[in-house]
Amino acid sequence: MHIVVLLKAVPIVGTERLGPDQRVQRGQLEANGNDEYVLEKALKLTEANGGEVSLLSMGPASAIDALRKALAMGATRAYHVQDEALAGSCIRGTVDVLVAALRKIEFDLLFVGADTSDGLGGVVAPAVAARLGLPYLSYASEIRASGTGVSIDRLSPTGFDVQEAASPAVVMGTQLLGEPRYPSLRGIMQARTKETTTWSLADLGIDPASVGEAGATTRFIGSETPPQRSGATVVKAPPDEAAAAIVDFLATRRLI
Amino acid sequence: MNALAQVPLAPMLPVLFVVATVVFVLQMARHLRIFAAAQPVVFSDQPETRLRSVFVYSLAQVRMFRDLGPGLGHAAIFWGFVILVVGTADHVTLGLVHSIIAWPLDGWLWRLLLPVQNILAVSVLGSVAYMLFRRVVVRPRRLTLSRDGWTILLLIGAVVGTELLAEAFQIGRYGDPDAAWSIVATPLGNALSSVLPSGAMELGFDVSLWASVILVCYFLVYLPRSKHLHIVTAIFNAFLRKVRPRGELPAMDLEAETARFGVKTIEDLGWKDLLDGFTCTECGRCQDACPAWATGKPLNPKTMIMGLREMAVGAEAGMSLLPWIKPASPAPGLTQPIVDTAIPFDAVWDCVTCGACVEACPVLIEHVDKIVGLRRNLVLEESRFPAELTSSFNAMERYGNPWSQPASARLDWTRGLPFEVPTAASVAAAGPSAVSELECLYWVGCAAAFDDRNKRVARAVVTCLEAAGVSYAVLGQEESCTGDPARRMGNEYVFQMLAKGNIATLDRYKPRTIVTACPHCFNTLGNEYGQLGGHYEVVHHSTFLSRLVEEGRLRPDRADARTMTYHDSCYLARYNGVIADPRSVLGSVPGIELREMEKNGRGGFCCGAGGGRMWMEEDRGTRINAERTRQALETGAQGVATACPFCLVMLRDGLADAPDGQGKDILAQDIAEILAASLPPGGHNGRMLPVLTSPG
Repeated sequence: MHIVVLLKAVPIVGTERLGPDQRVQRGQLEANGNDEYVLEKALKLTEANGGEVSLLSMGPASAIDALRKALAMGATRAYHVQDEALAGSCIRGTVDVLVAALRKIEFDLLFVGADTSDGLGGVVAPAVAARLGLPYLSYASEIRASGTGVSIDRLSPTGFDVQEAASPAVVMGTQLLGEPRYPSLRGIMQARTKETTTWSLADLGIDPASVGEAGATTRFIGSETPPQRSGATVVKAPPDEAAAAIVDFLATRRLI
Repeated sequence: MNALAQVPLAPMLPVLFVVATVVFVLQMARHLRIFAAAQPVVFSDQPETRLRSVFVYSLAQVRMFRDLGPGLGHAAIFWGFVILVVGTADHVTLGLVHSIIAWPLDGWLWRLLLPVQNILAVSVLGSVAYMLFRRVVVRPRRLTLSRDGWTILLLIGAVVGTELLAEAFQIGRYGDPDAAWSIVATPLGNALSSVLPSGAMELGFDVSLWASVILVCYFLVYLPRSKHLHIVTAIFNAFLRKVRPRGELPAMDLEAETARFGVKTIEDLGWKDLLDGFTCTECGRCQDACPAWATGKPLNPKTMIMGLREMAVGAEAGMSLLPWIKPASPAPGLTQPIVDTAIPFDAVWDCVTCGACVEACPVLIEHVDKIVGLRRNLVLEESRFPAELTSSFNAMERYGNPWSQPASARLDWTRGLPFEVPTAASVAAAGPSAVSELECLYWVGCAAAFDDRNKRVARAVVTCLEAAGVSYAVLGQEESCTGDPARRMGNEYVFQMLAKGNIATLDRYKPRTIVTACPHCFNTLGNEYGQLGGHYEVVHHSTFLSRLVEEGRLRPDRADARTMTYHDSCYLARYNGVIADPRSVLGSVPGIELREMEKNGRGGFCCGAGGGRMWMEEDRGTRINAERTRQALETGAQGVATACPFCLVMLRDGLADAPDGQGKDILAQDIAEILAASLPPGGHNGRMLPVLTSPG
């Protein structure tokens, strides 16, 4: 079984800053939190049933640190699409690139996190599935894989639905899949020599003009740092009084 | 006349002794073969310190007297043993020793020895009785009533008793020219001969002499399998002790390809660690001192050491006594994991690394480094640790601090101060050596930078520095966690990553002195960074502030009329001996009356947050900080002073949660806050700051 996990390197949550070009700086990056949860599940499944986990990421050169960490967790290899022309790509451009890359990889299952902490689009997974013409299973709280197919528990308002598909298929997972593991030192050392393949747009046969800022279907207008918030009401009182004060506060604003 | 010649089968006495000695040596050799399977130990450094340790801890046995009764009893038995060995040696050499000792000074040496021997024999018997009484009647919790314990005490009593009887029968039956000097045996012998016929006296002598020699030989054969082996090993353990700073954990090469990371099996321990096991007397002083054990957690330092010994003995069981006979199967104990054999998994994580056990041990067993070794293996090789640590590790790795705060927030604590806190980067703009010309670099630490309560301590520290006109700077955004919590949680990888980053920053600025209010930063910067090439002069703020007061640069004059108790931080007092300085800072504030807790100084009781426990849930047993708070409240003090950001938070919480609101009006404060509040308003240049306006 070969599982590919889409992994995006995002700015470390809580440290995001705008650069001089008014765009989010992409200096030190970490693996997108949601992606780590599906990676963990992919690792558990291949550990139990045999197989390999590959990572696929599109991002700047600094994304390699996040990929190394994921390799240290136990992934077998990483594919890294990296090209200057990709900066400023819209979701459509991103999907084009990922689809082109996935056509070069033979896989049974593609795991994708629910969304990313920097983009929050949440549509890359279904778009990739649609473009590849693959079954799409979403909001998985549990994933079971067999040699020929996959079945998941899909979160629903009443509990969960069981969905099944034949492989290859795309699965979008949630954090209910379980805490990502902490890599061991041996894993970290092995990750240094694991296979990483870097693809440029030329390798994927994509016209640079069709992606990046130039080819984007959405346009970046500008951004600004929000002003420091002030005037917050801080309740400092024993638990009972504090609870009452908070309830009053909400009630006077008709929020409860 | 040599009475020994009268004993039936007398020539067999030395033969028996030689046989027993050979068995003893073979068993000891088997212990040494286990040592050979363990890791090498360096002991060539600081020979004078090592020899002094042997004298102080093995001969003078200073640590034994912290518990006076057992200390005196033990001393009597120890010195009794040393002197009475002469008598035993005389018996098994058929009087040779007597002849030698009686030769110089016309026999006076022997004559002087006799009363000493007699008095000691009686005190040994008295001590044995006292110790049996303790085990059977007093029953202190730290002692376990084992068969080994009974055997040893009864054997000691029996050996000494039979030897004394033999001497008494001998004098009573055959007489002795030096009888007047045997001040116990002679009256006893005379009394016996007045009631017993001479035949019975002869029989009594023969039987008691043989009995004493047989018991001594049995003791020799029994010794290597007993906790009493410490009479042989304690001296070596004192010599081989850790002589590096106790707060310096063993260095570790993370690039070593084939190495085992940390400690998994007894083969991964140093052979000194195995010697620790063979030296343990099961006295339980470590258990008594352990805050985890005191609050009902599964960790027991004593049973861990006993467990390690059991594993070593188990491994030996697969080895034959005679080295040239190869065992059929390899020793299983060697490859067994220590965790969940000698110590439960949970207990490994209960340790606050406070070092109270190490401090308490009379025979210098080192528990903490072993526990950290186990943690290193669990973290680095198995990724097996309490779940809540994942986020701490990730936080230290990604944000450079366990609070998950961005570096850009590192100077938030300076907001609203009436003066500018200079950063090293801004100072260095004046020239490359500008920072090293400053009096000190204030290492703020993550706690003071990110924890709201401790931000006030940082403000108090710089207020004092400003008031004293000290030239200083902080690293600001360039500072990151020293790595202490990561290292003590076993994550050497994250520790070295953080340490190397900090060393690069510090080496760029080359500060003359680093001052920090955090004992953990203090210990790691000062004692551990040297392993990675960072050598700095590091001073704790208690020392620095007390010096400023002493030099008259700070003149606290606003009275603070409170009785206060001071809680010693483990990494300050026990690990680094900084005990007087924080007290002298408190003493300099007019009106403060210091009341000590029972456990203070080197014998202090942890707040519960050391060893990375600050970042772990405390769901086993009761809370350590609650216990320490109870001890603080017992003094009746109106305030609790600390000199550590973790202790401060733990005691603040402890006071808030104290039963019946006992801690309601009692503040936990850092010594810097108390000092800053007592400085004259207006200060040295009119820039004073009321740091204590909203306590809590």
